Amino acid sequence: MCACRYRRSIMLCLGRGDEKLENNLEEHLASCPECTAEHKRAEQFRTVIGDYTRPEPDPAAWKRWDERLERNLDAIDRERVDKRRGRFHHLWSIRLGILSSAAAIFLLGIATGRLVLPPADTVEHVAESTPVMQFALTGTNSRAYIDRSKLLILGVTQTDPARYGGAANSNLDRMKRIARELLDEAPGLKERLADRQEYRMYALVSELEIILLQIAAFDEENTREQLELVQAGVEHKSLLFRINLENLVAETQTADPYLADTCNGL
Amino acid sequence: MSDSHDLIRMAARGDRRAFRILVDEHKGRVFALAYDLTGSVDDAEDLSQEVFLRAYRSLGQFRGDSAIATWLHTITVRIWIDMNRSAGVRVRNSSDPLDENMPQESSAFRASAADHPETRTEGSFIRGYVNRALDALSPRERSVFTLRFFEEQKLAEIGAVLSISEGAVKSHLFNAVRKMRQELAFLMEAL
Repeated sequence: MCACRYRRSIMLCLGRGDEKLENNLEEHLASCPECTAEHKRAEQFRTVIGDYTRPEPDPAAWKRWDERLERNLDAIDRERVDKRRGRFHHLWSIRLGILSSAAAIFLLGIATGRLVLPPADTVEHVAESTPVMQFALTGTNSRAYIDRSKLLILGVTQTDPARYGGAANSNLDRMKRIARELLDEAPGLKERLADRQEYRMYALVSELEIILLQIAAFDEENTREQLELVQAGVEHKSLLFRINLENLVAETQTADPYLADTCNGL
Repeated sequence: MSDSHDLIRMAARGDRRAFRILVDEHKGRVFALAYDLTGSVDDAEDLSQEVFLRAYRSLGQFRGDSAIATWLHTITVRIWIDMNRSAGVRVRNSSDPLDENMPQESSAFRASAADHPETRTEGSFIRGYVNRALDALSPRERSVFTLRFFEEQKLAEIGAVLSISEGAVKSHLFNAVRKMRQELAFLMEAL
Protein backbone atom coordinates (compact mmCIF):
# COMPACT_ATOMS: atom_id res chain seq x y z
CA MET A 1 0.00 0.00 0.00
CA CYS A 2 1.48 3.32 -1.02
CA ALA A 3 1.32 5.77 1.84
CA CYS A 4 3.00 8.59 0.00
CA ARG A 5 1.60 12.10 -0.06
CA TYR A 6 0.45 11.73 -3.65
CA ARG A 7 -2.34 9.32 -2.85
CA ARG A 8 -4.23 11.91 -0.85
CA SER A 9 -3.26 14.61 -3.29
CA ILE A 10 -4.71 12.63 -6.18
CA MET A 11 -8.11 12.74 -4.52
CA LEU A 12 -7.91 16.34 -3.47
CA CYS A 13 -6.79 17.80 -6.78
CA LEU A 14 -9.57 16.33 -8.81
CA GLY A 15 -11.24 19.67 -9.09
CA ARG A 16 -9.42 22.74 -10.21
CA GLY A 17 -5.71 21.98 -10.40
CA ASP A 18 -3.56 22.81 -7.44
CA GLU A 19 -0.12 23.51 -8.86
CA LYS A 20 1.68 22.59 -5.65
CA LEU A 21 0.01 19.21 -5.55
CA GLU A 22 0.26 18.45 -9.24
CA ASN A 23 3.98 19.14 -9.50
CA ASN A 24 5.90 16.00 -10.35
CA LEU A 25 2.70 13.92 -10.16
CA GLU A 26 3.16 12.50 -13.65
CA GLU A 27 6.72 11.48 -12.79
CA HIS A 28 5.54 9.79 -9.57
CA LEU A 29 2.71 7.96 -11.30
CA ALA A 30 5.18 6.37 -13.71
CA SER A 31 7.07 4.83 -10.81
CA CYS A 32 4.18 3.94 -8.46
CA PRO A 33 1.61 1.36 -9.60
CA GLU A 34 -0.61 1.88 -6.53
CA CYS A 35 -0.92 5.60 -7.14
CA THR A 36 -1.50 4.89 -10.82
CA ALA A 37 -4.44 2.65 -9.92
CA GLU A 38 -5.71 5.30 -7.53
CA HIS A 39 -5.35 7.92 -10.23
CA LYS A 40 -7.35 5.75 -12.63
CA ARG A 41 -10.18 5.43 -10.11
CA ALA A 42 -10.05 9.18 -9.52
CA GLU A 43 -10.35 9.78 -13.25
CA GLN A 44 -13.40 7.52 -13.36
CA PHE A 45 -14.89 9.43 -10.48
CA ARG A 46 -14.21 12.72 -12.24
CA THR A 47 -15.94 11.40 -15.34
CA VAL A 48 -19.04 10.51 -13.33
CA ILE A 49 -19.07 13.88 -11.57
CA GLY A 50 -18.37 15.57 -14.90
CA ASP A 51 -21.59 14.11 -16.28
CA TYR A 52 -23.52 15.73 -13.49
CA THR A 53 -25.66 18.54 -14.84
CA ARG A 54 -28.04 20.96 -13.18
CA PRO A 55 -31.55 21.64 -14.33
CA GLU A 56 -31.80 24.91 -16.19
CA PRO A 57 -35.01 26.80 -15.59
CA ASP A 58 -36.54 28.39 -18.68
CA PRO A 59 -37.01 32.17 -19.02
CA ALA A 60 -40.66 31.96 -17.93
CA ALA A 61 -39.61 30.25 -14.70
CA TRP A 62 -36.95 32.92 -14.14
CA LYS A 63 -39.60 35.57 -14.73
CA ARG A 64 -41.75 34.07 -12.01
CA TRP A 65 -38.66 33.84 -9.76
CA ASP A 66 -37.97 37.54 -10.42
CA GLU A 67 -41.56 38.48 -9.62
CA ARG A 68 -41.40 36.56 -6.37
CA LEU A 69 -38.15 38.26 -5.43
CA GLU A 70 -39.64 41.68 -6.23
CA ARG A 71 -42.61 40.97 -3.98
CA ASN A 72 -40.29 39.91 -1.17
CA LEU A 73 -38.06 42.97 -1.66
CA ASP A 74 -41.17 45.19 -1.57
CA ALA A 75 -42.12 43.53 1.71
CA ILE A 76 -38.65 44.25 3.14
CA ASP A 77 -38.86 47.90 2.02
CA ARG A 78 -42.31 48.25 3.61
CA GLU A 79 -40.98 46.63 6.78
CA ARG A 80 -38.09 49.11 6.85
CA VAL A 81 -40.43 52.06 6.38
CA ASP A 82 -42.72 50.75 9.12
CA LYS A 83 -39.75 50.20 11.42
CA ARG A 84 -38.44 53.70 10.73
CA ARG A 85 -41.91 55.13 11.33
CA GLY A 86 -42.25 53.04 14.47
CA ARG A 87 -38.88 54.26 15.70
CA PHE A 88 -39.93 57.86 15.00
CA HIS A 89 -43.18 57.38 16.91
CA HIS A 90 -41.32 55.60 19.69
CA LEU A 91 -38.89 58.52 20.02
CA TRP A 92 -41.72 61.02 20.10
CA SER A 93 -43.65 59.03 22.65
CA ILE A 94 -40.51 58.98 24.84
CA ARG A 95 -40.10 62.75 24.43
CA LEU A 96 -43.76 63.36 25.22
CA GLY A 97 -43.45 61.10 28.23
CA ILE A 98 -40.46 63.06 29.50
CA LEU A 99 -42.23 66.40 28.93
CA SER A 100 -45.38 65.16 30.68
CA SER A 101 -43.34 63.87 33.61
CA ALA A 102 -41.47 67.18 33.86
CA ALA A 103 -44.75 69.13 33.79
CA ALA A 104 -46.25 66.82 36.40
CA ILE A 105 -43.20 67.20 38.67
CA PHE A 106 -43.34 70.99 38.22
CA LEU A 107 -47.03 71.15 39.13
CA LEU A 108 -46.48 68.79 42.03
CA GLY A 109 -43.68 71.05 43.24
CA ILE A 110 -45.99 74.08 43.15
CA ALA A 111 -48.75 72.19 44.95
CA THR A 112 -46.35 70.90 47.60
CA GLY A 113 -44.91 74.37 48.07
CA ARG A 114 -48.37 75.81 48.61
CA LEU A 115 -49.25 73.10 51.07
CA VAL A 116 -46.01 73.03 53.04
CA LEU A 117 -44.76 76.63 52.94
CA PRO A 118 -46.73 79.41 54.71
CA PRO A 119 -48.25 82.16 52.55
CA ALA A 120 -46.02 85.19 52.19
CA ASP A 121 -48.66 87.71 53.18
CA THR A 122 -46.53 90.16 55.08
CA VAL A 123 -42.92 91.12 55.39
CA GLU A 124 -42.99 90.32 59.07
CA HIS A 125 -44.26 86.84 58.39
CA VAL A 126 -41.45 86.17 55.98
CA ALA A 127 -38.99 87.64 58.44
CA GLU A 128 -40.19 85.22 61.06
CA SER A 129 -40.12 82.26 58.72
CA THR A 130 -36.44 82.30 57.83
CA PRO A 131 -33.45 83.36 59.93
CA VAL A 132 -31.68 84.87 56.94
CA MET A 133 -34.67 87.05 56.04
CA GLN A 134 -35.10 87.93 59.68
CA PHE A 135 -31.50 89.12 59.84
CA ALA A 136 -31.82 91.12 56.64
CA LEU A 137 -35.00 92.82 57.76
CA THR A 138 -33.89 93.71 61.28
CA GLY A 139 -32.12 96.90 60.13
CA THR A 140 -35.14 98.02 58.14
CA ASN A 141 -37.52 97.23 61.04
CA SER A 142 -35.43 99.06 63.65
CA ARG A 143 -35.26 102.19 61.48
CA ALA A 144 -39.00 102.03 60.88
CA TYR A 145 -39.52 101.53 64.59
CA ILE A 146 -37.53 104.58 65.64
CA ASP A 147 -39.11 106.67 62.85
CA ARG A 148 -42.56 105.79 64.13
CA SER A 149 -41.39 106.46 67.71
CA LYS A 150 -39.90 109.78 66.62
CA LEU A 151 -43.20 110.87 65.05
CA LEU A 152 -45.06 109.90 68.19
CA ILE A 153 -42.59 111.72 70.45
CA LEU A 154 -42.66 114.79 68.23
CA GLY A 155 -46.43 114.72 68.50
CA VAL A 156 -46.21 114.48 72.29
CA THR A 157 -43.47 117.09 72.74
CA GLN A 158 -45.17 119.63 70.50
CA THR A 159 -48.44 119.31 72.29
CA ASP A 160 -49.27 122.15 74.58
CA PRO A 161 -50.02 120.70 78.06
CA ALA A 162 -52.22 123.71 78.74
CA ARG A 163 -54.77 122.53 76.15
CA TYR A 164 -55.45 119.28 78.02
CA GLY A 165 -57.54 119.75 81.04
CA GLY A 166 -59.33 116.48 81.63
CA ALA A 167 -61.56 116.48 78.53
CA ALA A 168 -61.32 113.42 76.32
CA ASN A 169 -59.19 113.93 73.25
CA SER A 170 -59.03 111.81 70.14
CA ASN A 171 -55.35 112.67 69.59
CA LEU A 172 -54.53 111.31 72.98
CA ASP A 173 -56.24 108.01 72.23
CA ARG A 174 -54.38 107.68 68.95
CA MET A 175 -51.03 108.38 70.69
CA LYS A 176 -51.78 105.76 73.31
CA ARG A 177 -52.73 103.20 70.66
CA ILE A 178 -49.53 103.81 68.67
CA ALA A 179 -47.46 103.67 71.87
CA ARG A 180 -49.00 100.27 72.73
CA GLU A 181 -48.29 98.93 69.26
CA LEU A 182 -44.68 100.04 69.50
CA LEU A 183 -44.39 98.51 72.94
CA ASP A 184 -45.65 95.21 71.58
CA GLU A 185 -42.98 95.22 68.88
CA ALA A 186 -40.17 96.29 71.18
CA PRO A 187 -39.24 92.88 72.76
CA GLY A 188 -38.87 91.15 69.36
CA LEU A 189 -36.86 94.00 67.92
CA LYS A 190 -34.59 94.12 70.97
CA GLU A 191 -33.98 90.39 70.67
CA ARG A 192 -32.92 90.74 67.05
CA LEU A 193 -30.75 93.76 67.84
CA ALA A 194 -29.06 91.79 70.60
CA ASP A 195 -28.39 88.97 68.17
CA ARG A 196 -26.80 91.45 65.77
CA GLN A 197 -24.88 93.06 68.61
CA GLU A 198 -26.30 96.51 67.82
CA TYR A 199 -26.10 97.64 71.38
CA ARG A 200 -26.49 101.38 70.78
CA MET A 201 -29.75 100.85 68.97
CA TYR A 202 -30.73 98.33 71.63
CA ALA A 203 -30.21 100.98 74.33
CA LEU A 204 -32.17 103.54 72.35
CA VAL A 205 -35.13 101.18 71.92
CA SER A 206 -35.00 100.38 75.67
CA GLU A 207 -35.21 104.05 76.58
CA LEU A 208 -37.95 104.61 74.02
CA GLU A 209 -39.82 101.78 75.72
CA ILE A 210 -39.92 103.81 78.99
CA ILE A 211 -41.27 106.91 77.24
CA LEU A 212 -43.78 104.75 75.32
CA LEU A 213 -44.93 103.17 78.56
CA GLN A 214 -45.54 106.61 79.94
CA ILE A 215 -47.52 107.63 76.85
CA ALA A 216 -49.51 104.36 76.86
CA ALA A 217 -50.39 105.06 80.50
CA PHE A 218 -51.86 108.51 79.84
CA ASP A 219 -55.17 109.02 81.56
CA GLU A 220 -57.68 111.77 81.04
CA GLU A 221 -57.44 113.21 84.48
CA ASN A 222 -53.68 113.84 84.72
CA THR A 223 -52.91 114.47 81.12
CA ARG A 224 -51.17 117.78 81.61
CA GLU A 225 -48.71 116.44 84.21
CA GLN A 226 -48.08 113.31 82.26
CA LEU A 227 -47.36 115.29 79.09
CA GLU A 228 -44.90 117.47 80.96
CA LEU A 229 -43.23 114.42 82.45
CA VAL A 230 -42.79 112.79 79.03
CA GLN A 231 -41.52 116.02 77.47
CA ALA A 232 -38.99 116.37 80.26
CA GLY A 233 -37.87 112.77 79.88
CA VAL A 234 -37.40 113.11 76.11
CA GLU A 235 -35.38 116.21 76.55
CA HIS A 236 -33.37 114.83 79.41
CA LYS A 237 -32.39 111.69 77.49
CA SER A 238 -31.85 113.63 74.24
CA LEU A 239 -34.02 111.03 72.53
CA LEU A 240 -34.82 113.05 69.43
CA PHE A 241 -31.16 113.85 68.90
CA ARG A 242 -30.22 110.19 69.24
CA ILE A 243 -32.95 109.16 66.87
CA ASN A 244 -31.71 111.69 64.31
CA LEU A 245 -28.19 110.43 64.82
CA GLU A 246 -29.25 106.81 64.17
CA ASN A 247 -31.02 107.91 61.03
CA LEU A 248 -27.92 109.73 59.89
CA VAL A 249 -25.78 106.65 60.50
CA ALA A 250 -28.22 104.47 58.60
CA GLU A 251 -28.27 106.82 55.62
CA THR A 252 -24.49 107.10 55.65
CA GLN A 253 -24.09 103.31 55.74
CA THR A 254 -26.00 103.12 52.49
CA ALA A 255 -24.04 105.95 50.88
CA ASP A 256 -20.48 105.70 52.29
CA PRO A 257 -19.30 102.78 54.45
CA TYR A 258 -16.16 104.69 55.54
CA LEU A 259 -18.17 107.62 56.87
CA ALA A 260 -20.52 105.16 58.56
CA ASP A 261 -17.57 103.67 60.45
CA THR A 262 -16.62 107.17 61.55
CA CYS A 263 -20.18 107.85 62.74
CA ASN A 264 -20.30 104.52 64.56
CA GLY A 265 -17.15 105.53 66.36
CA LEU A 266 -18.84 108.63 67.76
CA MET B 1 -13.17 49.48 -7.42
CA SER B 2 -15.26 47.29 -9.73
CA ASP B 3 -18.64 48.12 -11.21
CA SER B 4 -20.20 45.45 -9.02
CA HIS B 5 -18.92 47.16 -5.90
CA ASP B 6 -20.34 50.45 -7.16
CA LEU B 7 -23.64 48.71 -7.70
CA ILE B 8 -23.52 47.36 -4.15
CA ARG B 9 -22.92 50.85 -2.81
CA MET B 10 -25.79 52.26 -4.86
CA ALA B 11 -28.06 49.44 -3.75
CA ALA B 12 -27.07 49.98 -0.14
CA ARG B 13 -28.25 53.59 -0.53
CA GLY B 14 -31.65 52.27 -1.58
CA ASP B 15 -31.29 52.01 -5.36
CA ARG B 16 -33.44 48.98 -6.21
CA ARG B 17 -32.44 49.07 -9.90
CA ALA B 18 -28.78 48.64 -8.95
CA PHE B 19 -29.70 45.65 -6.83
CA ARG B 20 -31.74 44.20 -9.71
CA ILE B 21 -28.69 44.39 -11.95
CA LEU B 22 -26.67 42.49 -9.34
CA VAL B 23 -29.39 39.90 -9.02
CA ASP B 24 -29.58 39.36 -12.78
CA GLU B 25 -25.81 39.02 -12.91
CA HIS B 26 -25.53 36.42 -10.15
CA LYS B 27 -28.85 34.61 -9.83
CA GLY B 28 -27.85 31.81 -12.21
CA ARG B 29 -24.77 30.84 -10.23
CA VAL B 30 -26.51 31.23 -6.90
CA PHE B 31 -29.36 29.03 -8.06
CA ALA B 32 -26.89 26.43 -9.36
CA LEU B 33 -25.04 26.30 -6.06
CA ALA B 34 -28.35 26.16 -4.20
CA TYR B 35 -29.38 23.23 -6.34
CA ASP B 36 -26.05 21.46 -5.77
CA LEU B 37 -26.51 21.86 -2.04
CA THR B 38 -30.15 20.97 -1.79
CA GLY B 39 -30.55 18.58 -4.70
CA SER B 40 -34.04 19.93 -5.22
CA VAL B 41 -35.37 22.49 -7.66
CA ASP B 42 -37.95 23.76 -5.19
CA ASP B 43 -35.48 24.05 -2.34
CA ALA B 44 -32.96 25.66 -4.65
CA GLU B 45 -35.55 28.25 -5.63
CA ASP B 46 -36.38 28.97 -2.00
CA LEU B 47 -32.74 29.04 -0.99
CA SER B 48 -31.71 31.33 -3.85
CA GLN B 49 -34.58 33.70 -3.00
CA GLU B 50 -33.52 33.74 0.64
CA VAL B 51 -29.90 34.42 -0.37
CA PHE B 52 -30.81 37.57 -2.29
CA LEU B 53 -33.20 38.73 0.43
CA ARG B 54 -30.48 38.25 3.05
CA ALA B 55 -28.02 40.07 0.78
CA TYR B 56 -30.52 42.92 0.32
CA ARG B 57 -30.92 43.27 4.06
CA SER B 58 -27.16 43.27 4.68
CA LEU B 59 -25.92 45.35 1.75
CA GLY B 60 -24.48 47.86 4.17
CA GLN B 61 -22.34 45.17 5.79
CA PHE B 62 -20.56 44.19 2.56
CA ARG B 63 -17.04 45.54 3.03
CA GLY B 64 -15.82 44.78 -0.47
CA ASP B 65 -12.95 42.57 0.71
CA SER B 66 -14.09 39.70 -1.46
CA ALA B 67 -15.78 39.31 -4.82
CA ILE B 68 -19.54 39.63 -4.80
CA ALA B 69 -19.88 36.10 -6.11
CA THR B 70 -17.86 34.83 -3.14
CA TRP B 71 -20.01 36.89 -0.76
CA LEU B 72 -23.18 35.43 -2.27
CA HIS B 73 -21.73 31.90 -2.14
CA THR B 74 -20.90 32.44 1.51
CA ILE B 75 -24.46 33.52 2.22
CA THR B 76 -25.85 30.56 0.30
CA VAL B 77 -23.75 27.97 2.09
CA ARG B 78 -24.34 29.47 5.51
CA ILE B 79 -28.09 29.67 5.09
CA TRP B 80 -28.14 26.07 3.91
CA ILE B 81 -26.01 24.87 6.82
CA ASP B 82 -28.20 26.83 9.24
CA MET B 83 -31.32 25.29 7.75
CA ASN B 84 -29.83 21.84 8.27
CA ARG B 85 -28.70 22.68 11.76
CA SER B 86 -32.13 23.87 12.84
CA ALA B 87 -33.89 21.22 14.85
CA GLY B 88 -36.32 19.19 12.85
CA VAL B 89 -35.51 20.90 9.60
CA ARG B 90 -34.25 18.69 6.87
CA VAL B 91 -33.71 20.18 3.46
CA ARG B 92 -35.67 18.15 1.01
CA ASN B 93 -33.67 16.36 -1.65
CA SER B 94 -34.52 14.94 -5.02
CA SER B 95 -35.37 11.55 -3.59
CA ASP B 96 -37.82 12.94 -1.03
CA PRO B 97 -41.50 13.16 -1.79
CA LEU B 98 -42.71 16.66 -2.57
CA ASP B 99 -43.55 18.69 0.45
CA GLU B 100 -47.19 19.68 0.36
CA ASN B 101 -46.55 22.55 2.75
CA MET B 102 -44.31 24.38 0.32
CA PRO B 103 -45.79 27.56 -1.12
CA GLN B 104 -47.45 27.16 -4.48
CA GLU B 105 -45.13 29.64 -6.10
CA SER B 106 -42.10 27.43 -5.47
CA SER B 107 -43.36 25.01 -8.06
CA ALA B 108 -42.32 27.43 -10.82
CA PHE B 109 -38.89 25.94 -11.31
CA ARG B 110 -40.02 22.36 -10.77
CA ALA B 111 -42.50 22.57 -13.63
CA SER B 112 -39.87 24.27 -15.73
CA ALA B 113 -37.24 21.65 -14.95
CA ALA B 114 -39.64 18.79 -15.55
CA ASP B 115 -40.47 20.15 -18.97
CA HIS B 116 -36.84 20.64 -19.86
CA PRO B 117 -35.47 18.06 -22.34
CA GLU B 118 -32.45 17.62 -20.05
CA THR B 119 -34.65 16.02 -17.42
CA ARG B 120 -35.42 13.13 -19.70
CA THR B 121 -31.79 12.42 -20.77
CA GLU B 122 -28.83 10.56 -19.34
CA GLY B 123 -27.81 13.79 -17.60
CA SER B 124 -30.85 13.68 -15.37
CA PHE B 125 -30.22 9.99 -14.69
CA ILE B 126 -26.68 10.68 -13.44
CA ARG B 127 -27.88 13.79 -11.61
CA GLY B 128 -30.30 11.66 -9.63
CA TYR B 129 -27.56 9.25 -8.54
CA VAL B 130 -25.10 12.02 -7.72
CA ASN B 131 -27.77 13.79 -5.68
CA ARG B 132 -28.49 10.64 -3.74
CA ALA B 133 -24.77 10.16 -3.15
CA LEU B 134 -24.49 13.74 -1.97
CA ASP B 135 -27.25 13.03 0.54
CA ALA B 136 -24.82 10.67 2.27
CA LEU B 137 -22.55 13.60 3.14
CA SER B 138 -22.79 15.86 6.12
CA PRO B 139 -23.82 19.48 5.34
CA ARG B 140 -20.25 20.67 5.70
CA GLU B 141 -18.82 17.85 3.58
CA ARG B 142 -21.45 18.50 0.94
CA SER B 143 -20.65 22.21 0.96
CA VAL B 144 -16.92 21.55 0.57
CA PHE B 145 -17.47 18.94 -2.15
CA THR B 146 -19.89 21.16 -4.08
CA LEU B 147 -17.66 24.20 -3.95
CA ARG B 148 -14.63 22.16 -4.95
CA PHE B 149 -16.04 20.01 -7.76
CA PHE B 150 -19.03 21.96 -9.08
CA GLU B 151 -17.94 25.53 -8.39
CA GLU B 152 -14.24 24.70 -8.90
CA GLN B 153 -13.09 26.88 -6.03
CA LYS B 154 -9.63 26.71 -4.46
CA LEU B 155 -9.23 25.20 -1.02
CA ALA B 156 -8.43 28.62 0.48
CA GLU B 157 -11.58 30.13 -1.05
CA ILE B 158 -13.68 27.31 0.36
CA GLY B 159 -12.12 27.86 3.74
CA ALA B 160 -13.05 31.55 3.55
CA VAL B 161 -16.64 30.76 2.58
CA LEU B 162 -17.07 28.29 5.45
CA SER B 163 -14.86 30.16 7.89
CA ILE B 164 -12.66 27.12 8.45
CA SER B 165 -8.95 26.45 7.92
CA GLU B 166 -7.53 25.02 4.75
CA GLY B 167 -6.57 21.89 6.66
CA ALA B 168 -10.17 21.43 7.76
CA VAL B 169 -11.30 21.90 4.16
CA LYS B 170 -8.91 19.13 3.07
CA SER B 171 -10.16 16.84 5.79
CA HIS B 172 -13.83 17.39 4.87
CA LEU B 173 -13.01 17.03 1.20
CA PHE B 174 -11.14 13.76 1.71
CA ASN B 175 -14.05 12.26 3.64
CA ALA B 176 -16.55 13.57 1.11
CA VAL B 177 -14.68 12.10 -1.86
CA ARG B 178 -14.29 8.77 -0.06
CA LYS B 179 -18.01 8.56 0.63
CA MET B 180 -18.98 9.71 -2.84
CA ARG B 181 -16.74 7.10 -4.44
CA GLN B 182 -18.36 4.43 -2.34
CA GLU B 183 -21.84 5.65 -3.27
CA LEU B 184 -21.03 5.95 -6.98
CA ALA B 185 -18.81 2.86 -7.23
CA PHE B 186 -21.31 1.02 -9.41
CA LEU B 187 -21.35 3.90 -11.91
CA MET B 188 -17.57 4.02 -11.99
CA GLU B 189 -17.47 0.26 -12.63
CA ALA B 190 -19.80 0.67 -15.54
CA LEU B 191 -17.44 3.10 -17.26
